[in-house]
Amino acid sequence: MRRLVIMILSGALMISMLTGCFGDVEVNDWAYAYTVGLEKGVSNKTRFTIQIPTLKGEGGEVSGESSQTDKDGYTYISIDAPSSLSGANMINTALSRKVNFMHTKIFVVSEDLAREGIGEILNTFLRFGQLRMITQLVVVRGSARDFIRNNKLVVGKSLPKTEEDIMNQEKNAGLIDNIGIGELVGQMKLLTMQATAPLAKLNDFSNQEDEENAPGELKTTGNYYAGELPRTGGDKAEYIGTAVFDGDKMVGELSGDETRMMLMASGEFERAFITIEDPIEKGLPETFDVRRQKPPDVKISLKGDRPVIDLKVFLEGDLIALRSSINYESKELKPVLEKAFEKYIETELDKTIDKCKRLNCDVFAFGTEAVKKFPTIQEWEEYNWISHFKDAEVNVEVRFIIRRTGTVIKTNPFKYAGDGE
Amino acid sequence: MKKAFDEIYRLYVNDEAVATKNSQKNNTRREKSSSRSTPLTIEEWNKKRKVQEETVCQPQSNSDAISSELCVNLEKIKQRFLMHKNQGIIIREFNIGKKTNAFIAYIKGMVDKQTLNLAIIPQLMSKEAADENNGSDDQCTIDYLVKNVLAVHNLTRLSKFSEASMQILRGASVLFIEGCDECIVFDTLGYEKRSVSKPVTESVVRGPQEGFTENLLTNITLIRRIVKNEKLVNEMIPVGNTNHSNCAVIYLEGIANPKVINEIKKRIKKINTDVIMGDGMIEQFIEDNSLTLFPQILSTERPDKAASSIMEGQVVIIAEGTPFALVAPVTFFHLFHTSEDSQLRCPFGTFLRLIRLVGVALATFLPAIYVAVALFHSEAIPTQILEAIIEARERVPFPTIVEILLLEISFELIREAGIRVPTIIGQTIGIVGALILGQAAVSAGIVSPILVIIVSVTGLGSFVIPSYTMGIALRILRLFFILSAAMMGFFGITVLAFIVTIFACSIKSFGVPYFSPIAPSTKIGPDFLIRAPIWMQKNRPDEFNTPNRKRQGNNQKVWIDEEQGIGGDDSNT
Amino acid sequence: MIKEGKIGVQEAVCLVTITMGNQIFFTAPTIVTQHVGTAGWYMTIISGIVAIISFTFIYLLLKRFPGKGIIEVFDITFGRKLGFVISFTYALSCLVAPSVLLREFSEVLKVFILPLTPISVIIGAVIIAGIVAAYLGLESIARISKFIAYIFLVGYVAVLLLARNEYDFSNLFPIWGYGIGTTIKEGITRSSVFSEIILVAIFAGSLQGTKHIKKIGYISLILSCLIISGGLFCLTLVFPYPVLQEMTSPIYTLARAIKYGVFVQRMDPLFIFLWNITTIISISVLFYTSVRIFCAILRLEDKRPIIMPLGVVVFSMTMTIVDITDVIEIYIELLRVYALGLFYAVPIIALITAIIRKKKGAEINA
Repeated sequence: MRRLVIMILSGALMISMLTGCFGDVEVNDWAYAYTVGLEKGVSNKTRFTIQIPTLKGEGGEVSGESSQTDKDGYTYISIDAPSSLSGANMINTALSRKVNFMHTKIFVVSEDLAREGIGEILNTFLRFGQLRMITQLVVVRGSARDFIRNNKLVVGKSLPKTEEDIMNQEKNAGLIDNIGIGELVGQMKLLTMQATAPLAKLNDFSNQEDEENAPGELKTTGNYYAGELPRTGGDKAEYIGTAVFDGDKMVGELSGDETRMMLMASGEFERAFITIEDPIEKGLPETFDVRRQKPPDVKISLKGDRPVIDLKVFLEGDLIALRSSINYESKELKPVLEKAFEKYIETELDKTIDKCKRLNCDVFAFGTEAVKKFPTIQEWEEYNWISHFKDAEVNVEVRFIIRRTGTVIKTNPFKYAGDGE
Repeated sequence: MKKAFDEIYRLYVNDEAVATKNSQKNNTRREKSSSRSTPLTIEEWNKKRKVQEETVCQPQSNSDAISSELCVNLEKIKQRFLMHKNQGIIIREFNIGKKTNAFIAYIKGMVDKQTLNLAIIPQLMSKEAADENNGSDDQCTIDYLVKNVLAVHNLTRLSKFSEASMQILRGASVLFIEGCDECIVFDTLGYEKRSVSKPVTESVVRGPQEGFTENLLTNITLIRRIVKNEKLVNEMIPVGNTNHSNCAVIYLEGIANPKVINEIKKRIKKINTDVIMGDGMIEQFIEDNSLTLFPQILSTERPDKAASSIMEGQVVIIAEGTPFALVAPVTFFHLFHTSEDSQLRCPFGTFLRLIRLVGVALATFLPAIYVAVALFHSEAIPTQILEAIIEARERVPFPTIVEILLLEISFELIREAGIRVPTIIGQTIGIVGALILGQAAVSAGIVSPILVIIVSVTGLGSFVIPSYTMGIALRILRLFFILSAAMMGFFGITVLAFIVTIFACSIKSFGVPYFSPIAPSTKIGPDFLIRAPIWMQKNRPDEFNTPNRKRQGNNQKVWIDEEQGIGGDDSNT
Repeated sequence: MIKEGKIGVQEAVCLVTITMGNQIFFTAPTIVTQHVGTAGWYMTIISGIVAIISFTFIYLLLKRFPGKGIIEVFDITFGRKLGFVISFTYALSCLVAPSVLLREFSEVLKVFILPLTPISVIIGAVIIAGIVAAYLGLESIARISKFIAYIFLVGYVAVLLLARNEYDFSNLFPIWGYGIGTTIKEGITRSSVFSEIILVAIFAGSLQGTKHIKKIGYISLILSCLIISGGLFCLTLVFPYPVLQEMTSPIYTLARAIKYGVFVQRMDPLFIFLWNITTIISISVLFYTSVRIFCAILRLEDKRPIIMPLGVVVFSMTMTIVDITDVIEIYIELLRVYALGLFYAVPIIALITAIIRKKKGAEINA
C-alpha cells in the first residue's frame, strides 16, 4: 500500500513536471502570415503588414469593415513599428494569436525600401529562424500594404497555394525570376553575381483602354513592367519583371522580356511562348513555344582586367501560332524563321545585357564562369568580378531550332475571291 | 466432520504432491503428520467408512508401490480420489475369467466407453481370460493377460500408484488385478474435445486453413503431419504442480541448436507453480526479460507456421489447454512474418511485407508525429495540409493531446469491446461504434475530422501486425510516443525511440539477440525484409545458429543448366 | 574490470563512424569553410589521411599488447602514476566532449526546432538517454549504432541527393580555396575531427582481436572521411562559400532548402530524426567511454555506481557553458587542438616508450 502511494505520488510529480508546457503551441494559437509586407512607415520607421487567414470557415459571417475582412477568408493587418519583428508584437494588441512566419509564401518589399537596402531586414528575418529560405521575396511598386490588401483570391480557395503557384509560373512563362529569399540573400553577398527579385504591382485595370499606350509597332509579350499590362479581370496583383539589386540595394528594373533574356543567359529559362515579328510579312506576330535546349555555353577570357564573355544560348521550340500564311514548314523557309528568331533573341539579349551593364549588375551569373579562372579566393576577391562587369565585352550567339510545327506540316494560303486576278 | 475431511484431504494432497517427486522422504513426513492429527480424525473417518463398506482393507504402508493385494489397492484408490464424496471416479470390479478378482478404475467422461465395453471388459470377463497354465491365485497373471487376452493397441504396465493415478487423471483406465503388484493402463482417452478448425486470430488467404486446438496430442499430430521426419523430437515435460499439465517441446534434432533446446527445457523444468493453464503462462515463466514490452517468444495458432519454424531451427513449445504454440527463439523481425509469405511468389510476398512494415510504422508513429507537428513543428508540413488542420481544429475545444488521447482511448475501447461482446453482434458493434462515434464527435465539434482519419489509419496499421502480442506492445508504445511527442515534439519521439530501441537491442530471446541479423550483424538472409525468390533461400536464418545451415540445393539452376546442356552439377544435399 | 561483452567489426565500425560523422550536422562545415573556403571537401580527405597515419601508430601500439585497451596499455608503458594521469585526462576529455557536443546540439535544436523549449529539458532528455545507454553497456550501444547506421546512411544520402536541384558546380570554385598551403595546414590541424578513432583503442579489449582493430580503424576512418567530405562537397555545391561561412547548421539549412513543387518541400522531419538519433548515439558513446575509463582507472568492478554521478556531472558541465559563441569559438576549437595532442601524440609517445622500455603484452589467442 505504501509503495502504491509512493508510486502514485511520484507519477503525479512526473506528470506535473514532464507533461505539457515545454514550448508547445497549438496550431490554432498561431496566426500564420502567408504574406508579409514591409515598407517605409509614415508614423514610425517601418510599416509592417501581414496577411493571415480569418478561419471563419464556410458559412462564417464576415463582420467589420469590408476592406479589412474579405470573403475569401484572408485579412490583413498593418502597423507602423520601429522594426518589423517588434511590429509583430504590436499586432498582438489586436490579434489574439502569435504571428508566425513559418509558412510565409511571399515577402513583399516596397520599391522605395528596396532602393534603400533590404539586406539587414532580410538578415533579421532569416536569423529569426521562422522564415524559410524558400519564401519568395517580391519587390512591389507602390505601397506594400495596398498590395497585400488587394492580394485576393480570384481563383481557388487557398491563398498560400495560389501564391506559390504564381511564382512557379516562371517555368511556364519566364516573365518572373522565381528565387527563394535564402538564395537571394546569398546572392547579395556574392562576388559572382548580383541579386534579382520578382517585381509586382497592383494593376488598376485602366491600361486596357489607354489609347496613348497603343504602340505603332508590335509590342511583344513581355515588353511590360509590373502594373502596366493591359488587362482587366483576375487578381489585381501582377507579377512581371525583375528588380535588380546591387548588394542589397535595388538599382533597376527589368521588364518581362528582359527577365526572359536574363533567364536564358543564366540558364534558368525553361519554356515560354515568345512572339516575334514575321520576317517576311512585317507586322504580323508569330508565336513559338520556346524551350531551353541545353544550358547556355559561357566562355570568359580576360583581356587584362577587362573580361570578354562569349555567350551561346541554345533554344528549341515549336511553331504554335502563325499569323502569316507563308509555308514556314518547308525546308527552305524554316531557317528564315529560325534566323529571324535568333536575331530577335540576340538583339534582345544584347539590349538586356547593355542595360545591366549600365546598371553595373551581373544578374546573368557570368561570374560563376569567371570564378573558374581564379585559383584562390584571395585572387578572386581582389579582382572583384561584379565591379568589372560593366567593362565586359559580351558576344552573344543564339541557336534556335524549330523542332515541331504543331498539328500541321504545311500551310496553304487562304483563298480569296480576288485571288488570281 | 468437515474439518476432519479437510484435514484428510490436505494429507492426501500433500501426499500426492510429493509422491511424484520423492516417495521415500515423504513417507516419514506423512507418518509424522498423520500421527500428529490422528486422535479425532481417524476415529470419525473410520466410523464413516464402516458405514460405506463392510470389508476393511487398511492400506498397510504409505509406500507408492502397488500392492499385490487387490483390496489394498482398491482402498488406496478410494482414498486418493476421495471417493466418499468425489463423484467422477468409477471403479468397476469384476473377475477375470470368472476367477481372479480385479477392478478397473477410470474417470467418468474422460474415457472412451466403446473401447471399455467392447474391447476390454468382455475379453477380461470371458472364460478364455483365465490363465490355464497357472492355477494358483497368488501368481500374477498379468503377463498372460497382456500377451493373450487384451486386444488393445496401446497399454502400459505401471507399478507405482502416483503414476497410475496420473494416468487415471489423464483419462486412461487402469486395471488392477488380485495378486499383481503392477497395473495395466489402457490408453482409452475419449473425452470431448474441439475438432480442428480454422485459426481465428491468424487467417491467411493462401495457405493451410487449420489451426491448433486445445488438445495437446492433436496439436502434436498436426505438426507431425507436416514434418514427417524421424528426427522430429517431441519431449513431454510436466508442468504445473497441482493441475499436472503437460507441455511438449518439439524440435528437429540436428537442425535446432542444442544449446537453445537445453536452455528451453531447463527453463520449463524449473517452472515451479501450481497451475499452468496454457502457453501464455509458460511464455511468462520462461521469457528472458519480462519487463520489456516486446514479446520474445512468438505465439502462433497455425501448425504450418510452427512447422516451418521447426524447419528453420526454432523450437516449438505446446502446452495443454490453449490452441497456441510458442516458438522460440525469435527475433524482432520474425514477428512480422506470416506463413503466407512463403506460399506467395516473391514479388507478392515482398509487397505484403512492405505493406506490413508501413502498417507498423503508421501504427507506432503516426499519432505521435501528428501531435509533434501540431504542437511543435507546424513548419514541417505543406501549407495546404496545415490549412486543413487549422480549419478542422478551429472549433475543437480540447488541446491536441487531450483530443488524440480521447480518440485513441475510444478506439481501444471499441477494439476491446469488439472482442468481448458475443460474436454475432461483435462486428456490428465495432463498425457501428466507430462510425457513429467518430461522426458524432466530429459533428459535435469535439474532435477534428483529421484526427479521426489519423486514429483510424493507425488502427488499421496495427491490425496488419501478424503477431497479436507484438500488436499490443506497439499499441502501448504508441501511447508513450504520443506523450513524448507532446512533451518535446520530434526530439521527444527520437529520445524515446532511442531508449526503446536500445532496450530492445539489449534483450535476447534464448541467446539470440533481438535485433539480429541487423544488430548484431550476421548474414542477412534472403527471407528477411524482402522475400527473395524461394530458390535463393538456400540457408536457414543465420541468427538461429543452427548446426545444419543448408536448406536446399540449387533448384532451378539444375534444370536450367541441363536445358542449356552445361551438364548438371547436381550437388544437392 | 567491468564486463563489456564483445562487439563485432560491423558494429564497431558503425559506432565509431556515427560518432565521427555526426559532426557534419553541426557547425563543423561552417568553421571549415571559414578557414579554407571552397577547399573544405578535400581538406577533409587530407585530415583523413593524417588521421589514418596517426591511427597506424595507435594500432602498432595496440598490437604490442593484444587484448588490451589503450588505458591498460598506458598503465603498462607509462607506469601506474603517469598512466593514471593520462587516463584521467582521457576520461575528462571524454566527459567534456559530450558536454560540448550536447550543448552545441541543444543550441542548434533550440534555434531551429524547439525555440520555446527550455534548454535544460533538452539536455536532460539526452542525458537520460545517455544514462540508459551506459547502463545497458557497450554491446547495446554498438547494436543500436548498427541498427541506426542504415537509417543514417540512407537518410543522409537522401538529404544530400534531394538537394540536387540546388547544386551549382561553379560554387566549387575558386578550387584552391584560400590557397593550397592554408588548406594543407588546416587539414593537418583539423585532422582532430577524427580523434574519436581513439574509441577503437579504448574499446580494443572488447574487439575480437588485433586484426579486427586494424580493419575497424581503417574502415571507419575512410567511411567517416567519405561522409564528412561528401557532405562538405554537397554543401559547397549548394551554398556559395560566403553563405556557407555564416550558417549555424548547414546541413539542416540544406534540408530546409529542398523543394520540389508545392508538396515535396519542408523535408526537415526526415532530417531531424536522423540528426537527433545519431547525436544521441554519439553522446551516449562518449559518455559511456568516460564511464569505462573511470572504471578502469579507479579499478571498479561495477560500472553502475558511477553512471548517475557522471551523468549529473555532464549535465552541469553542459549547463555551465554560457552561449553558443562560447561553444563554437572556445570549447570546440580548444577540444580540437588538444585532441590532436592527446589522442594522436600520446599514443605515439606510448609506442616509443614501449619500444624503448621493451614492454610487450602477453600473447593471447584472440
